[in-house]
This record gives sequence, C-alpha cells and structure tokens, in this order.
Amino acid sequence: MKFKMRQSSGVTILDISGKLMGGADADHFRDMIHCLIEDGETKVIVNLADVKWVNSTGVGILITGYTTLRKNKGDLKLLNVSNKIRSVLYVTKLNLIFECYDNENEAVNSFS
Amino acid sequence: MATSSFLASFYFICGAIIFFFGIMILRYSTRDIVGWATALVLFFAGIGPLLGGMGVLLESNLQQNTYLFENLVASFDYIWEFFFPSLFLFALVYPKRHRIWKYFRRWAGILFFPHLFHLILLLVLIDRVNPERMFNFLNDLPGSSGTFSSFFATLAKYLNVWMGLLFKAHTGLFSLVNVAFAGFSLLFLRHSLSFELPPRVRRQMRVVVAGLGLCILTYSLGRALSFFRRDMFDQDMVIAFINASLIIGGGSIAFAIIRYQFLDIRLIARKGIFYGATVALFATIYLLTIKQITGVFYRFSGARVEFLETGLIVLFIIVFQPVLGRLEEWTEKVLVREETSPRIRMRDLSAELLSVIEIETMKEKIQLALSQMFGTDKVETVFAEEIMAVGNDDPYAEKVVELLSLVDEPMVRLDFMEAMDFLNLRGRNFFRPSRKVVLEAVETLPGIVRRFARYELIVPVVHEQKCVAALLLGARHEHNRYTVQEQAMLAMLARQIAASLSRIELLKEVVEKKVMEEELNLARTIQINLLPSAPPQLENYEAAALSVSSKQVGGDYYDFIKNDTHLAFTVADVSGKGVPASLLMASLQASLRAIMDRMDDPVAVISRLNDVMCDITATDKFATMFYGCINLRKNEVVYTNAGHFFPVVVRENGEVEELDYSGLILGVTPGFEYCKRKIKMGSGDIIVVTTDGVTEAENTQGELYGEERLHPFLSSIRHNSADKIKELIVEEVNRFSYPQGANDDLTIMVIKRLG
Repeated sequence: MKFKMRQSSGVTILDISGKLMGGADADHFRDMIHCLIEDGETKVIVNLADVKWVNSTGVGILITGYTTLRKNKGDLKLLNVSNKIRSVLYVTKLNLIFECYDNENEAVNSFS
Repeated sequence: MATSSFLASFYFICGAIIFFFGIMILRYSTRDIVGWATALVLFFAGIGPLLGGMGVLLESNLQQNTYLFENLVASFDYIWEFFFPSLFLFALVYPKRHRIWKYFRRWAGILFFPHLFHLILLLVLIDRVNPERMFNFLNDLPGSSGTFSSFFATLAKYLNVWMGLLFKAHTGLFSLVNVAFAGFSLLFLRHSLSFELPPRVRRQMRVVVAGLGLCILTYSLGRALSFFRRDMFDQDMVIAFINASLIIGGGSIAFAIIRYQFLDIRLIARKGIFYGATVALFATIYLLTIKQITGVFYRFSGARVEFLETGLIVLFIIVFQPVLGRLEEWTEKVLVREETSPRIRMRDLSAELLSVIEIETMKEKIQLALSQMFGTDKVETVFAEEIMAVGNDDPYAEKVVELLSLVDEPMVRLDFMEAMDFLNLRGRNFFRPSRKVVLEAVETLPGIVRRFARYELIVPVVHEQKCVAALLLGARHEHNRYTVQEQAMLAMLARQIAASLSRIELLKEVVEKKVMEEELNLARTIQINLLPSAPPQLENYEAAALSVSSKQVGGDYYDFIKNDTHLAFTVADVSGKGVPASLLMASLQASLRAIMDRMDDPVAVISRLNDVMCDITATDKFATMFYGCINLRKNEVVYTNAGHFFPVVVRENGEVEELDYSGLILGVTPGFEYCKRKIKMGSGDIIVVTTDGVTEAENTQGELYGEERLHPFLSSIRHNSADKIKELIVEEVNRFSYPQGANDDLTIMVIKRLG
C-alpha cells in the first residue's frame, strides 16, 4: 500500500494504491490520520481508485480513520470505490457509514 | 652554621616550588587575567626565599666572596617586593572580578608603579649616589670661598642629612606600602568570601585568606621589629621573617592548588611541583655537601676531583625517578582528598556508566559529576532525538546534528558559531571578539543554535559517525575556559557515553523482544483457551471447526454453545493482533456466554455484543461476526451477521446458497438494528462458515481463490463428513496458494445435518 497526500480547497485527499490489507499499513494509516488531526485537517477523502482489494483488516483501517476523524468533528469520505470493494462495504454494511463518491469535485464540495 | 644551612635549604626548596608553580600556572592554565595574577604572585613569592636560600648556601661555600652574596634577599628586595602589587591584582580578579576592577582593566600596570619607582630609585641612584654625600658637590663649586664656602658646607651637610633621612624613610617606610597593598588584598579577598560561592571555591578562599593574613602579619612583624629595634635583630632575623611571610603567602595559594583544585591546575601541575621540589632538593644537597667535600679533597690532596661531581650527578639522575615517585605517592596520600581528584572522579564516573541501564539515570550521573569536576552549574546532556524533535520548527536542528557528527570532538563556543556560519573570524584570528560582544551575538542567534551557543563548551557524543547526544558545559565559577587537557578528557568521556548509550539501546531491544515474545505467548495461550477444545457431539448433526493462523497470534474466533434443544455457533474476526486482540476476543466470548439464555434470538445476541464493542473506548477495535442458532428439533437455523463474510449452505442436491444478509460490523455505532434471518436445514444439508482467509487465498498469478471457485468445490465434496469437508477445504486452499501458502488467518466451521 502506498499513500500520496494532496490538498484541494481545504480538504485532504489521500490517494491510496495497492492493497489495503492491514499489517504495517494499518499503523501507517492511523499515524497519518493522527497527524492530520493534529494539523487541524479533519476533512479527508480517501481515493480508492488504485486499490485492488480491501480485506477485513483494511475495512478496519478505514473505520478507524472514520471514527477518529468523526470524534474530532471531521469526516472521512470515499472516492472511486470499485465494485469489488463496494461489495465488501455492502457485506459489512459500511455503505451506510461511508459516503462514497465517483467524482472528486463532488466529494470535495460535499464538505462545504 | 648547620641550622642556617638547613634553614637556607628549606627556603630554597620552598622558593623553588612556589616559583615553579608560577611558571606552571602560566604554562597550563588559561592565560586570562586570573592566571596571570596568580602566576605573578607565585613567581615573586618564590623569588624571595629562593634568593634568601641561595644567598646563605653560597655564603657558606664561598667565604672569600661573602660580601657579594651576604644578603641576597635584602639586595634584591626591589624584585620580590613586586609580590605585593601582584597580590593586590590577584585579589581584584579572584574569585570574581571585583567591581572596581573595571577601573583597572586597561591600567592594571598602574598597580606596579610604586614598586617600579622604588626599583628605579634603588637601581639607578643608590649604587651610584650615596644620599649622605649627595650634596658634597656644593663644597666644590667653583668660585665659592670664605663665608660662602662655610655656608655651602653647612648647606651641603644639612641637605645631605635630609637626603639621607629621606632615603632611609623611603626604604624603611616603603615596607608600609607593601603592608598596605597586602592589607587591601586581604580586605578584598575577605569581602569576596561573603559572596555566593560554590563550596570548593569557598574552601580555597579560606585557605588563601588565612595564608595571606599570616603572611602580612609575619612580614609586618619582621619589618617593624627591624625598624624599631635594629640593635636587637640582625639582618638574618629580618630575612627569616620576610622569607617566612612569602612562603606562607605563596604556600597557601600552592596548597589551595593541590588540595582544592585551585584554578584548573591539576595533575600536570602536581607533577610539576614534584619535579620542582626534587630538583631543588638535589641542588641543595649538591651545594651543601659536594662543594664541602670537594673543598676538603682539594685541601687534602691539592687537586680538584671532578669525577666526584660527575659521579654524584649520575647518582642523582638514577635516584631522581624513585624519589619523585615516593614523593608523589606521599603527597597523594596526605594532601589530596580522594573524592575531589578529577582523575578519580572520572574513573568513578566511567565505572558507573558501565552499569547504568536507564538513560535518565545516566544523564543525572553525568551532569552531577561534570558540574562537580569543572565547577559549573550549567551542564546539560541533550540527545540527538530531542534536537531532531524540534527539527520541524527549527531549520538548523539538522545542521547542528550533522556538524556534531562530523566534528566529533569538543568545540568551544566560537568554533561552534563559526562552523555554523554565524561568526566570521576569517582574517581576524589574532583579535578574537571580546566575551561581551560574543555573548550579545549569541542572543541574536536562531533557536537551537542559540541554545547550544549559550554554553562554553560543546562535546559531541558520536556513535558510528552519528551524533547521538551532546554534552553542554556552561561558564565556570572560576573562569571561562576549558583547557586542552580537559577537552581531551571530555572527548574520552564522550566516547564512553556513546558506548554506554548503544549498550543501553541494545539491552532495550533485547528486553523489548523478550517482552514481545512473552506477550505473544500469552496472547496465544489466551486464544487457544478461548477456542473450544473439541466440537460438540450431537445426535443428528456433525460439527467440525478449525482455526489456523499464519502468524503466531491471529484475530479469528469461533465457538459452539449447546443446550438440549439448540446449538449456537459463531465465527468472528477481531481487528488487531496480540494481547489486545486476545482480550477483545475474551470479552466477546464472555458477553456471548452471558446472554445464552436468549441464544435463539440472534438479533438480541449480536446487538448486545455490538453495544459491548462500542463501549470499548479504543477507536480501532472492531469485529465482524456471524452468529447462528440451530433448533435441533425443528431443524431451523436463525442467524444474523455483523459484517462477516457470507456463510454458505450446501444443499444435499449440490445447490449452494449464500446467507447474504449482513448488518454493520461490531463496534461502530451502538444501537444498530440488525435483522434476523431463518433457513431450514434438510437432511444432508451443510452450513460452511469461513473467514475471508479462504476466498482471499492468492495463487502465484496474484488471483484470489474467490467464491466462484469455492462454491463448486464445496458442492463437489458435500458427501463427506463435516470433519473431512473441513480438511478438504484446507487442502484445497493450500493447493491453490502453493507454494507460498495462505497468508491470512484461516477459520473454517462446518455443520452437517445427518438424518
């Protein structure tokens, strides 16, 4: 799993590529979310366009990020969720929790 | 004769030691004003007894020339009397610059003017002109005769008497100038004692003040007695008093140097004393005995015996080293307090560092030892991580660490500032900026550079070419500089600290690893104990389950709970690993078992577990869980699912159905409303619950095993027993992912209805 971070009108966009499957990635992701919160940037969009697969630990990672940001009055939204991942979200009913977008502008605007 | 020779030798040796000390101070101490003043004091205090001793010794050898050497002390008093202004200078700058020092700063030479005048007067006038005959030229004035002549003669006579008296008064009363100088010095030093001083300096001061007090007393006594009762006291007596006073004065400072580490003359200076003393001792023996013996030989045989002198000199050279060694040993034992010796302190610190296992303790020990050794309140140990921790805010942090790694030896403030490009000294090496200018410049430096530059000396602690820490030593009580020897000693200490730090680091890693292993073992034990040891035995049903973990400890959990009419079964996947995950599992199990009176109500069970998980405050604690309950009489299964991978039912006819209901995973939102589903179990029907380890098994092409492979496979093996099916699935997954094997936790639960 690799991260890239960029900003778009006050919203942090994390471009993730590879597999979101836990292990060291989980720690890395959590640390990053904590860093963002410390910097006061609590509006986060996770772009999953290049993510092939998310397993249960990967879902845990996303949920952790979501709950942490929520507690700090922020939000975590998903962008470009593939059908495969959508099915995972559906099984875990996280589609009720995460707002998913297919268009970056839409996702960014949803924060304002 | 014997007594006077003995006394003379004593003067000579004492004088030599004190004199030598003066040179030592100049050579090894910092050459600031305190160093100079001390050196001057000792220099002149040494000359007096040295001259006195030499005078007597030479006198006893060279009878024919007595006149010349009779009274060296008296003849050269204008030299050693400089002792007194030097003393005054010393009192002005030690232990701190006195507040009136600023008036003398540039004009310290003025203090020596009275004695210079005295010297010129005595050197130039006394030997050339006899004051009592000074005005005799009036008698020989041309053209003077008769009454004039007698007038001039009378005038000359009176003037001569006056001049004589004036000179007498000057030479006699000049002692008063000396006494005044000494008295003021004593007053200043005494006044300094009332300052806030570190204990060591205070002890030094007491010795010096007491010694100087005694010195003045002896000196004035000698002078006064000789002045008023000249008849009763011969010149030798006066000289004895003067020598005693000089020896006491200089000796007290010398004593303070040895015993209380006055200034920073330490080991080397102490060696210096021994050399000085031994040389003086041998010289005395030589002067006293050899000359006599050769004299006797000469008288006896009429020939000079040169070999005797040569032989004795060789003998002296041979015995010099052992005598020196003994002398040193004796002084160490008698004079030097063990705990104050910096060498011993350093040795102790080294030994302590070897046994320290906590960085904080180490820091404390270093700081305490260094502040005692160098007499400074400001000692700090900074670790590289601390410097780098501020790195985000301070662009210089990284540069400082880089510089320290590169230099790897103690740096004084100016070198540091120059190396950091904050001070350009190029072309002005001879005129370094004054302390005040530097200190003002330091305050304008940015963050971390300023923090470092506020200290006098920066000692990097470097391990494998990387700076791991730095010792920062601040201004000292006595003066501001750290000598080359001290810097070398600190560099050695820094190496030792680096070694100790890496040792502590290694130790920590070993301990951490051990703790982690213990923790994993504990977690594993908990998990094994949580899982049922054997599947339940039932009349109409077969149950089998297996959980394997790719790592030592996984996050998978399964359970069977049975009563007469029902069999509850559950598979869960808990986030995280190790002890926290195990404890989470344990609490899930406990909650599950606590609610088993409602085991046939899956929604009640799962909702309860969801609330339990939500109560756990940690943000990253989640679990997916499938829960089902078979009514053994009605052959009905009620179930619900909290985000767990969909289980499948394989019908007897080979059809595969997914139990595709799921609610939110456990631990996200309390009060989530789950739904209950119900299926019928026909004869030969099988329920297979797995974790995603099965469908996510990956082959060498990076393909996942997936439901599309699992479902037909399950269909094809449906006629086997539950236990066999479980094993076949594991085999299938391993075959698919061969050779790397399944990389995730794998849990399989199979329940088959028989009749």
